[in-house]
Amino acid sequence: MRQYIDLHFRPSTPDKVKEMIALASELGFSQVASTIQATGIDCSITIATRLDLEVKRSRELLDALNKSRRRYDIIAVKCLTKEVARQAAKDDRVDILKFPDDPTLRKRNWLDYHEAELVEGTERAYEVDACDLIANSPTHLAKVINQIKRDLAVAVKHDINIILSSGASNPLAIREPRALTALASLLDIEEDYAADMISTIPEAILKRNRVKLEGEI
Amino acid sequence: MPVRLVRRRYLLFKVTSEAAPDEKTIWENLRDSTYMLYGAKGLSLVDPNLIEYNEETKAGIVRCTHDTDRFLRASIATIVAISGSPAVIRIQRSSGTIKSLRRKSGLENPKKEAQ
Repeated sequence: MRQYIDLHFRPSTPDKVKEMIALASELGFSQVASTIQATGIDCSITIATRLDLEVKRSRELLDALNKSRRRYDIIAVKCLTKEVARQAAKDDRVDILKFPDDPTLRKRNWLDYHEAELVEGTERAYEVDACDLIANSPTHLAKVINQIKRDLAVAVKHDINIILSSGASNPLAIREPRALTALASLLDIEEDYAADMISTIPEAILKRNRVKLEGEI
Repeated sequence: MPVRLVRRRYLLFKVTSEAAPDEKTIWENLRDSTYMLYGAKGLSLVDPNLIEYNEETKAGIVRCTHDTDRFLRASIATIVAISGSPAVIRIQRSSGTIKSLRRKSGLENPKKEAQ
């Protein structure tokens, strides 16, 4: 049986984390990664720590990675500039590459062939947030779908891992695993691969990082 | 043995919202979200139909054609507001017949209850 994993919760307060994690457990997720940690949560779900890095210069990214790598299970880099995207693509300490959801920023910044060649053959993954596919007007959604599909075509050509997360900032933004795989149909992703995107692929990332972090301790 | 021409899929859903939407509002949201994502042709292929909706429990059953339940799930997942207040509709269970869906989820048949 598949173990569903959501690697991207970004709640605004610790109170919301508890609510979101309880709901994720109810909806059938076995593990989640959250950018804010909460204590005293009593549920069957495993909670991983995640850091989202949003920097504009590669030097800032390197400093942040030096400081934080050992403290988090997952490190994702939001590639706001080409310079950061290239650095993130070649740095082994980065787990997830994420590109901005704003179409105007996306015009100058996407997963290009140079970055894809740097990521190819590594364990880094490209992330799609389901929240980018909802709560949008039809014209905005059409733009977002086209931009993500362009990235996915490059990722697939270079055999790069792709993960699907909710990107939820509140309980109402959390969707059940089958809804996430259904949303992947908007990006022409097959149902089986979409299920891998929220189960086996994130599981492998978490497993690898936990082994590394335990080894360092 | 009689065989139906069109196979269906029945989805049990639950609405989470501070508002208390009525059946008509839920149906309009389901229909409009499918139309928004897939257009008129998609809507005709999915052929969604709200079978029942209980305003007290905020749970209901929606029907679609057998091979398009993924499209209906995606459409439902894109709903973020109902009657102007933040909301989400989550599918809890699906089945090939209403009878088995009711049996699996412990729902009573409203017609039987009325009798």
